[in-house]
Amino acid sequence: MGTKVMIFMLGTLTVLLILLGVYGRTMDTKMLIFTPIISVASGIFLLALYRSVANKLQGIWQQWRDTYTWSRDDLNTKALIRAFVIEVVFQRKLYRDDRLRWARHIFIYWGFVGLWIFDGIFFFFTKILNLQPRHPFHLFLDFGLDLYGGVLLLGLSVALIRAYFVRGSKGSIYNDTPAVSLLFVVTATGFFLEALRLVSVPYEPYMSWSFLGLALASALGSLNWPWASVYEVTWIFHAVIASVSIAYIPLSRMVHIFAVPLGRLLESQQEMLAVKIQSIGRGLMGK
Amino acid sequence: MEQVGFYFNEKKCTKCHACEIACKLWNNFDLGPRVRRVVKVSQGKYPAIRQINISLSCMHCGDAPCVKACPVNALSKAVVDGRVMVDTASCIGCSFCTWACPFNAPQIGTDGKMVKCHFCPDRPLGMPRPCEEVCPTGALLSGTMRELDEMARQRSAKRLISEAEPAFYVEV
Repeated sequence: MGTKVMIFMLGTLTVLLILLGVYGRTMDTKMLIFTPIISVASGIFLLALYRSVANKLQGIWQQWRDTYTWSRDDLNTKALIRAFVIEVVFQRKLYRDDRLRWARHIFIYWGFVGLWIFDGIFFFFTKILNLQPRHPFHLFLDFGLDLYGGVLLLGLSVALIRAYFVRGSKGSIYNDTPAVSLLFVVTATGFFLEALRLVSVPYEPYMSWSFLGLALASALGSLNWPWASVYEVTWIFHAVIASVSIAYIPLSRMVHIFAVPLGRLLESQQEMLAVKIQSIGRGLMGK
Repeated sequence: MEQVGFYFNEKKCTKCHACEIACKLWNNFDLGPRVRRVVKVSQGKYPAIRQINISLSCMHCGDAPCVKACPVNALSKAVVDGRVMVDTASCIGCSFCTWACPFNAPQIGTDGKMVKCHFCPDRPLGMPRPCEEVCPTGALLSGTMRELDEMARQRSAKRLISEAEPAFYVEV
């Protein structure tokens, strides 16, 4: 219990301090609302991830150390790397089982991974190093964020359409509609926000790098709405729903995005599984 | 709760693997995972080596480590008879249970979901399990732990020793 509280507190505090450090002096109403919410959501995320993945693996490892003789030399590094590339990066098991399932998994997984990487770099360069919007690297980041966001949105759309068609059938055992819907809303509102940002200012060629946001902005531009005020409300909605989804991921079946790759890596160590079976003999036949 | 379990007589086992096939056929399991399998267990070094065969499946452990290891609580222990059951809809196929199990009983099927012995719930208790029914030498038996315990005492069989308290006796 103490460890869990500590993880929650540390996670919350870390995010809070980062955001206060970056935005502290220029904090507007939006950030005042967003900062505590995302900090608590991150704390819940870390705590739930610890409880459902790290803690379980720790228990398995503890049992291993107590029961079997195993040293670091027994680790099959080659098989581990091979499993990482084939099973984690390219998800071969899914490919062999069902191509459509594989495609939507690849889109969602790589959409997510790409988005998180680009978001992290974007945050660092624009908020900490104050990279200017017209800088070529900024434009590259704009492109990457739109690309991976689009890939993610495509994967989530396929998942939702499939979930609709297989409802009530045996295929529905793969559905996690609440979590997918939540992520779909987060991603869609992210694009909507980007479009609102672009439609509120006169067009400039550099905006073309945000190709999906700009396409949506062109569609919105034909409507004569007060987009600037819509932007504020959408921003808060997006921030809150994104925070909720961050906290919800490790609490739902979506935790598989962390647990399954780890399981695939464990599976690569088949020699370790064989050790367990052979150890049964110790109890039955003596030393 | 009346815990159910298995009793295996190694001396009677002829390694015919009929139990594996009966399990697969009765439950219509995929080709990949072997929910029941006859494994060779060796002890010692040549020339003083000893080898026995054991028909292994889920042992429906009293303190099942797989239940504790599941990140989404897809595994549970039935209150009535202590079977360890899996909720396929909740399973995410991470295989943490395989690693937690001292006997590698849970396996990932071709559909990406965990599959393991569920003690054939479509057969009433008291009736032999398909793996037991098909065994030509009667090496494999099932029953309540009270019944199996009594049999083990008479035949001086051993209960598999593990902290997980597996519901499994072996007569070697």
